[in-house]
Amino acid sequence: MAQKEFLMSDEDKANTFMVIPAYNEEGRVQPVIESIAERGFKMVVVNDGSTDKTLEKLIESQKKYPNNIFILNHVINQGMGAAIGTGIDAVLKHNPKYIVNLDADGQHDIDDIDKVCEPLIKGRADAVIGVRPFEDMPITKNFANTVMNILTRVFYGVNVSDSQTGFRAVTAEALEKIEMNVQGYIVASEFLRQFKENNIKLEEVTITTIYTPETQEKGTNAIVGLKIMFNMIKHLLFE
Amino acid sequence: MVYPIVFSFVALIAIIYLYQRIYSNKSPTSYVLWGVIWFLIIIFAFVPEASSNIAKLFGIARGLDFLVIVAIVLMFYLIFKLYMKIDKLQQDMSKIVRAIALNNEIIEESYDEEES
Repeated sequence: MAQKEFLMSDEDKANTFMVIPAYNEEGRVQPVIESIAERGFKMVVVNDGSTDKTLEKLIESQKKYPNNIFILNHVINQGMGAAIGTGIDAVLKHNPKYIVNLDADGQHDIDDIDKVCEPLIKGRADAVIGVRPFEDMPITKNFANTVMNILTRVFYGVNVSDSQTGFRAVTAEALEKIEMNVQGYIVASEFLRQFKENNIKLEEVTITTIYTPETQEKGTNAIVGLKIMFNMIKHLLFE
Repeated sequence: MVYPIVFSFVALIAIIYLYQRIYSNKSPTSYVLWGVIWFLIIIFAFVPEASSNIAKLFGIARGLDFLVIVAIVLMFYLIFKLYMKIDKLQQDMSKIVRAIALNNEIIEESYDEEES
């Protein structure tokens, strides 16, 4: 790479807030949020009614980084979309400039936060999605995500390289135009639809994805894909 | 003659029940619809040929086929209504869960001490 890698200044970091939904991530969430806190970022973690010890683990991490980690608790599991919605509501109270949303399972490389925020900080875009390279994906994930890209294009008219990514960054102004009223994994496509509807300038940034057996348990599989498709049709017909 | 009597008895009970509900409810449309259905059941129980005549109106050969088709269509409609209702309930529940979460941010005691 000829270009020098972009690194966020301390001021930018102070203006950035993370939204992290966590559901049954007791074994994975701590390294993720602690390494984010270590880099000086603040975050709202939403425990989405986990049935394991996720909440205890979050509180444990909060003790180490009391000024960086804010915890909200869904008493009942409501799905990824609802958890992100709650996180957004909470995060906007802190008046951040940039909001980054990423998964709690450790599939994202924390170093990519700078990369994903760069277009926002430099004013090139108001929303950024971190695109996972499809050739690195296991074959089933590759197929599922390709199908989801096609569905997102057909139903929402949004053409992106990775519609189901969990890594995105948005400016506060753009986020205020958005209303998140969805429950599950459809949230990824819903973000794209709302970006398009509100004329929010979107940029794609390639990110590193860490595939381990744990990070592959969740995410887009055939059933999730069908649910997302069903939701898309519903949105199209009734909203 | 057992079949028409049993059916009309059940239908009558249903109509009486619906009649009471119509007067205690602000939106009686669905009750009226159900009343009509039960009323038709009484007619069909005593005059089975009536269903054949109605079926012919819709271009369906047999009366029973017509009834089965109507029943299936009704069931689909009901499933759809139930689905929409559950969806609405789910969204309402999310709002409650969100409000509870936002009002009860989890703050560790150590954090409290540092702040105060």
